[in-house]
Formats: sequence, structure tokens, C-alpha cells
Amino acid sequence: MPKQKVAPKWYPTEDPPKGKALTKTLKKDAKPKLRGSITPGTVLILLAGRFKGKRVVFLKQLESGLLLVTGPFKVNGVPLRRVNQAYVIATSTKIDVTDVDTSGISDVPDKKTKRHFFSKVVPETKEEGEGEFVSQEAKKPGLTEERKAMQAKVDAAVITAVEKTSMMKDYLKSRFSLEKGQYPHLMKF
Amino acid sequence: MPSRESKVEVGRLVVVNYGKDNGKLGVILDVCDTMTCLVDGPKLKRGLVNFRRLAFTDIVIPVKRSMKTSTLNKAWEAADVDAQFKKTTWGQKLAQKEKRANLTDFDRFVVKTLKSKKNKLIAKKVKELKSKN
Repeated sequence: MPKQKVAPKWYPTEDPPKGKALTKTLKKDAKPKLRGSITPGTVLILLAGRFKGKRVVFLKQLESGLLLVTGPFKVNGVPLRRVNQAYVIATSTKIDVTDVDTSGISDVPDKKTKRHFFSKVVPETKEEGEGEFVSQEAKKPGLTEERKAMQAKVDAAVITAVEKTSMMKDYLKSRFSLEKGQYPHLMKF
Repeated sequence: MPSRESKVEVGRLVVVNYGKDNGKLGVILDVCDTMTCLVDGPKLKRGLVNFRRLAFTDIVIPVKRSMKTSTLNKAWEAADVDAQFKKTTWGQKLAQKEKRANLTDFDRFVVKTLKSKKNKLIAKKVKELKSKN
């Protein structure tokens, strides 16, 4: 008996991509494009979160696409931190960060430990004390020595660059705010 | 008070104050009717402009009626119109406005801090002088 071709029950709404179009759709792990105005050393204004309004120094774009910034910590209290470029205004002020080494910082999880530079520190569980009777002296997870050391190292280099321009340190110390008559869409940053 | 129309003459330097060419300098090259004139300038597009869109300056440039744009540009440079206008208070004010509009965030911070420092010094001095009396 000849095999009859049965009409398929379902037709896709669009023709599936082939060739070049197919490889383009498969690029889902591509790094988000960095705004042209953001280059290493740019002073950014953070718009959301705990440090909103703070002016920070941009160091590099991490593999996940997030921006690595630092206050520097001693200047305005912002540590080495990841920030999304959507929540940031890039100013045209640039600091020379060519001497700053940020190669040790990455947010790609290590294959073995599944942790990266910014992973939260898991507190050590104590065996005594279950439920409500957990010892009050349970240690709060702090920063690892690695992070503190990296912060100090990176900040030292950034601060020397910052101090080259007069009033730049005070600028980074201050917070950004809008005053009466100031409209962001009419302002030049 | 001299009327606005008394300033309408060939060669009068004007500042366009409305529309796409807002803030640009031009010269009256010809008068069309009671309300329009032909205006041209190095940064302007040559065309008829209503008097209401112009602010007349005190400067008159030696140009001929309906001069060609290329000849006008030469006459403009010869008379050094931009420098002439910048010397006037009007020109200085426009330049200051432009400067302030182009301040970066860092510049704004510096201006604010220095202004505050200056005012504090003045206030301190005033207090000193007042207490003396």
C-alpha cells in the first residue's frame, strides 16, 4: 500500500531561521552592548539602589554584561560592585585607569566551586543550637579577605589617578541631585 | 522711543530668536514687505524671515542689497562680525548662556563649590565689618 502523506496538524507561524539567521538567533549568551559613552575610567552616576546618587568610577564590563565600579570605597563608601548600565548616567568626566589592574575580578562562576568573585559568602552552620535555640554568637558572614585585598589594591591605583585632578575627590564624595530648574533631558552630563 | 522698524535696513545685524535657527546671527540683505525681510548669515539658511522672529542689534555691516551668500561670507569675515558682536553685552550674555548650557556634571559641581566658598568669604567679611560698627 503506498504511504500517504498526511498533512501536518500544526504549521509554524514563521518560517524557522536557516543558515546565517539561525546562527544569529543562537547567540543568546552574547554580552550586552556597552553604551558608547561608557569607557574605562568614566565617572558614572548611580540611579538606583543603596548608592543612588553616588558618583563612581567605572572599571570594566564583566562577562555577564554588568559594569564593575568602585567608589573608591575610602572616598564615598561604594565598594567594588556590579551595576547594570540601565541604572546609570554616564558623565563625560574620565579618569585615567590604565594603571588599575582588575584582571582578578570576574563574575563567571568557577567550574569547580561554582562561585565567583561576587558570590555571597555562605555562613558556616553550627551544630549546636537548633531552631530557636541558635547561639546568639552565630557569625555574620562578612567579606572574604580576597575581596578586601582586591578592594584595597584597586582603590589605591584609582585614588592616585583621582588625586591628579583638583576637586575630583570632592566631586566623587558628593551625591548627585536635581535642583529646581534642572531637567535631565536638557542637561549635559 | 525709536520704533523697531527704524532698525530695518540693509546690512543690519540681527539675531534670529525663534525657530530652527534660534540664536544665530544674520544680516538683513533686502526688505520684502512691511513684515518680512531677506536674511542670510554664515550659519543661517538664506531666506525670508518675519520681523517678529528677529531681534535687531546696533551693528550695521557694509553689504550690498541682495548680496550672494559667498560674497556675504567674505564681507562677514572682513568686518569680523563675530568678534564685534561678542564684544557687546548682548553677545557676552549669549556666550555665557551657551557656556552654562554646556557645563558637564563635574563643571557644575566645581562652579557650585567655588561659588559657595566665595559667598562664605564675603559673608564672613561682612560680619566682621558689621561687628566693628
